[in-house]
Amino acid sequence: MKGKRWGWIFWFGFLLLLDYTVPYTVLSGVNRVYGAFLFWNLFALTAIASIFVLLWKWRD
Amino acid sequence: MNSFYILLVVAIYVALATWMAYMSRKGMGAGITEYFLANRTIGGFVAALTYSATTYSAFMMVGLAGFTYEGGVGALGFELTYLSGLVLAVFFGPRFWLAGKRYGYISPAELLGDRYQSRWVAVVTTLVCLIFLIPYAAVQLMGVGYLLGGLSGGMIPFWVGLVMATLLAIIWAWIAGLRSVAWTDSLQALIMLVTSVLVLLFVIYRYFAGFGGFFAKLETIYPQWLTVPGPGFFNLKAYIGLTLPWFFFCISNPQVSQRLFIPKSMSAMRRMLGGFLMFGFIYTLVSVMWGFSTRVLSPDLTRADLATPTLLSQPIIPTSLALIVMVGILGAAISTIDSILLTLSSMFARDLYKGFRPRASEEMELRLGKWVIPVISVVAMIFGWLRLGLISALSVAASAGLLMTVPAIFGAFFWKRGTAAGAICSMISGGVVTGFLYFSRIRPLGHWPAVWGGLVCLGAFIVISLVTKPPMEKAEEFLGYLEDGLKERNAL
Repeated sequence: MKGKRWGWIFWFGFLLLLDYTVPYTVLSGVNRVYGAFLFWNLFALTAIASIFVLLWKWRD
Repeated sequence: MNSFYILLVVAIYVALATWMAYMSRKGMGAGITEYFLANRTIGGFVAALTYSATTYSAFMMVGLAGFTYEGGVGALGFELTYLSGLVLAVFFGPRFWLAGKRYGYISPAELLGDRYQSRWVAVVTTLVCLIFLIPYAAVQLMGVGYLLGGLSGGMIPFWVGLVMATLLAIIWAWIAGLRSVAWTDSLQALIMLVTSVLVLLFVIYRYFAGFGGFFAKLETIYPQWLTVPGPGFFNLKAYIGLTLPWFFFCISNPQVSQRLFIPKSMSAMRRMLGGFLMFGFIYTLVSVMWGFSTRVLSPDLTRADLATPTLLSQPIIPTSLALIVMVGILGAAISTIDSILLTLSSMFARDLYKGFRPRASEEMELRLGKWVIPVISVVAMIFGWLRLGLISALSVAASAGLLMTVPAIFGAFFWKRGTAAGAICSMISGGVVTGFLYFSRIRPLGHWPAVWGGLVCLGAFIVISLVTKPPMEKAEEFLGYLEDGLKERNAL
């Protein structure tokens, strides 16, 4: 369980790192909808999908 | 917009929600857990809606739309970073829920006080929440005042919206505690989502002939608004300063974390969090698109938080639709403030009163908790009356202050070595630093108060815990029980 926990923590940490770096570096000059706007939508959907995976493992 | 129609629609909404609040009393039992937590029996659907309505306030439709108007796409990143912070609820939700059931906690402060074996931890947590949540509650009231004033062209004075929102929050929290709050929240959450989407679709298709046209126009006229730092507001330091407290919102804000005690089962909690994530994603996108639309349609506003009232006053928006949306925003504000009132009153009764009078009867505790509701409301109303600064900046200041409870919360669940002295010193030192930096407007090295307050708070918690004696027996028992419970339910 602890190994899995750390795996997920690293995964979410990685996502957050992208959240703070990508729009301010590679996308800072892309003034189109497919720039930071699309990136942050994809970031959020990936995070949400990952959370759903964890939620659906729960048992009563 | 005619103020008669505004007041008429508000009256219908108030009547409907008050009827729902009364209906929620059916089957209601007695006792403090029943009043403040609905006896931990809320189903997934209602839990998801009350979680959404409590989390999303007037800030979204007024403040976030204003942020987008002023700073562009950074506002989207900011709010979606908050939403991704729900991952914390995956880790903390089952822990709060299991501990709440076993030890009978009704407030997050009570949990911390018991875990660290110190009533002073609960007292300090409660005081931090009172100090920082009153401004947060006040911005909701201000949002209603601005909204009604803006839509009526000044015919409805600011104070009328302020007083009305205060009274409604008191009544809906008072009638049946969490039951009435949860049921009125559910109605309001549905209104918030449906009406905001309707207006967006209306604006996009009537003004821009669809999303393609809308984005093409945005790219042509305001390309900078699609980048960060873009127009300048969302430079990286501002982005970090804003997102840091909001990422931890779901555990730092007691009115939200208290909801982790209320689902009737793990399945209900799963539906609560899953439902909220879907609600939050749609609501965030809509709020941001409102801000972008207003930027294109009315680029010369003097204040960013006028973006939403301006959008709703566009001649193309039918009055009937604008009126319904107004109710949606009103609902967003009141559903947040009545939850805050209920949570703060439960903390007042359990962590301040009962903490010092352990022999006090439950009946007395509950009676006191109920009477604290109007008192806190009036304090928030006075704060709102003062109209300090930009609405969203005030809201964020509150979140930064509540961030100071986070190291103690992490320690309670993940660090046996954490101590009461560490928790108390971290909250006080972090709260003082954050409050001082906001008050003095000083930003060392350009970083926002949340960053410095957070560092001081974290450092104080670790260092002071290491040099003081932890309640090891309680920590072993508490964490051991949780570990077994989590394993049984396959939670991380």
